[in-house]
Amino acid sequence: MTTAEAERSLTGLRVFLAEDEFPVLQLIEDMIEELGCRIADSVTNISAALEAAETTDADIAILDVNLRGQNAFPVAAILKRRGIPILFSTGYGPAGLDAEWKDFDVIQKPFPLDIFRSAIERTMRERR
Amino acid sequence: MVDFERNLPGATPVTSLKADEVPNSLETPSETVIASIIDTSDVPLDAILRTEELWRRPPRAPDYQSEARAFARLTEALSDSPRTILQTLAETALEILDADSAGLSLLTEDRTAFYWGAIAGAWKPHLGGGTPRDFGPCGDVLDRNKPLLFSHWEKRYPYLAEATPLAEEGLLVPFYVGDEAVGTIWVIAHSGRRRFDAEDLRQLQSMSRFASAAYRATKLLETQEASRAALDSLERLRESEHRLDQLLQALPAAVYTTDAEGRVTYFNDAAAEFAGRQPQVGDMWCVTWRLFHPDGRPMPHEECPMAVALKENRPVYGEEAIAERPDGTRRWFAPYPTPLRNSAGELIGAVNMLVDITERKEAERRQKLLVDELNHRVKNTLASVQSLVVQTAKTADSVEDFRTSVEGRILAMSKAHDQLSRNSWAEAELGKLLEATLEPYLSKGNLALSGPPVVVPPRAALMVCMAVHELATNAAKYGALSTPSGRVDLSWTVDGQSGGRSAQLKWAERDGPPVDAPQRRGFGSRLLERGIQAELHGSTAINFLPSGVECEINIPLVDDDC
Repeated sequence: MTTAEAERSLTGLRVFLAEDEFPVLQLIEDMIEELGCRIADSVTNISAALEAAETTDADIAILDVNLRGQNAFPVAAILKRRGIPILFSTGYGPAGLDAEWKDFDVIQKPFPLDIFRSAIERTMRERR
Repeated sequence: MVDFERNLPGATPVTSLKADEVPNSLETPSETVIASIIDTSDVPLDAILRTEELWRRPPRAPDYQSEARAFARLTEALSDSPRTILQTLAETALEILDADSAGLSLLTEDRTAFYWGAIAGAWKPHLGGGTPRDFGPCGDVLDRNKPLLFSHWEKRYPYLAEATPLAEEGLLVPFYVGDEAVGTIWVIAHSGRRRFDAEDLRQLQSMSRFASAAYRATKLLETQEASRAALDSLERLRESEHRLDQLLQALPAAVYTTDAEGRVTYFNDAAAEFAGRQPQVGDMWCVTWRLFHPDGRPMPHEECPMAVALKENRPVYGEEAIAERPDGTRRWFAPYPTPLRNSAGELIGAVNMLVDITERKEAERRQKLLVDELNHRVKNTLASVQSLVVQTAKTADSVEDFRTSVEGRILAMSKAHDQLSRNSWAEAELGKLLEATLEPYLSKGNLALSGPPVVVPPRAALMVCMAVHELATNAAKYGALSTPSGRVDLSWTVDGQSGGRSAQLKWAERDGPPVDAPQRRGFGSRLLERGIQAELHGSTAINFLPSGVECEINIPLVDDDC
């Protein structure tokens, strides 16, 4: 798949984003837009995330594992039930995932645009 | 010779000859050793007895004087050196009766044999030897309960052929304690030089009464010595047990012992305290209530390290386990079970020490959490830096502009971190936070800060620093801080009760150049407009008034979870 094809394949993809640090939220939102995707929902805390996860009209979710000291796995559970593929973002690396979520994709912060793109592509392909 | 020590008690293994192997010649004693006693003999007892002859022989003339002297010496010896009285008695008999050998045979405790407790004369090398109770001259004397004179007893008792020189004649007299015969006193003639007579019998009978007294004295002495030794060793044992107990009690570690089957035989106070229960002597394998492996699986007591040490008879080191007390609390510990062996090397039990490592485990867990948390924060901070670099790059007019902007923003973050680190990342004082952030402008004298003391939580501190930095750099580029006449007042108030408190910051520029609303939304305006709201649930109102920029920021002062 060429870069152009990859970009095309992600065009219009609706993304659910949960990230509690505003500068990082901005960065990821910009990256999402640069990839031709659009933000379905963007939340910064656990209660907003739990609420939005039930209703979001997203093709993929990018979840910060730690939302202000609270882990985002309950949010992930809702998204999983709704069949929305999940890409975890974390400062902890794969070691930060609970056993139940070990097989899910993780992207470690900070990450550049091309790593982010391939992570989204992988998540969409494997649809976990 | 007949070796009593090695072969008796128990009649069986006395070195002996079979009756039919009795050598005919005195010069050729057999070297043959036969392991078992022959209970019957072809030679009848009467064939070797000459007792009746005692009275037929002409008696020696009695020497009462030397006899009296001898008994005086014996009596003295009985009180002065009771330990050697039997030997003294044998020597006296040898002398008074002018015999070749003399001695005393004593019945063993189990009454299966006689041993030669004292011998003087030619047979002295046989001291400690003996004869079986039921197959020998001494036994015959006790059976017939009277003195007997033997001639060449080896004809009936072949094993006595080894007791050289052979006995031409042997005169034996029993002696008693109460009514019980306990031994014999005897004299032997190894050649025809001496032939025992009635006078010899009388003297030996006198001595047998003395032998009875000497025997009792010796037994008493032995008993006393034995009990004293037993008492001494008991006392020493008690003392050493007491010392051991004190030593084990003084140890801060839990210590207990078991027998070879794993039954608890001892535990110290620290063991009971560690177990959180009163262990019982007889508990199996361990003093603890319940055990778990480090990974949380239950560990049956019969598989605990102490059980392994006992079952495999080896020390078990380097293990860790978790003990649960009856109250539900859990303690990590390192056991050190070590088998105990007796002097023969046989397993007789084991001792175990349980070292409480709960605090170390807690510290390890906390340290791992801290390292994880630090990693999380560093990675998020780097992502924030990445964010501001990327966003600054999008709006920078030049490389120089980019560099100045990025540096300023990173430094603003750094100043917030400084203030927060001073308070263990719990909170920051708002006034100090603003002073540090705006320090370059404050020194020029055209910026004034005013407000009450108030502390803000970490996320608010970071966002306020960055927001105010954006306002200040904007003012320095386009607004009141770009001209010497311009002024900025930054003031704040605190409203509301605890729980619902909030801080209101007001940034007001005046006397600067006329202001136009910005054409594009950069890092600063996004941060002010959305960041405060998104991250702090606060609000921002920014007005680009012609007289100068005014910005009001409302920040809820609730604890956050950062």
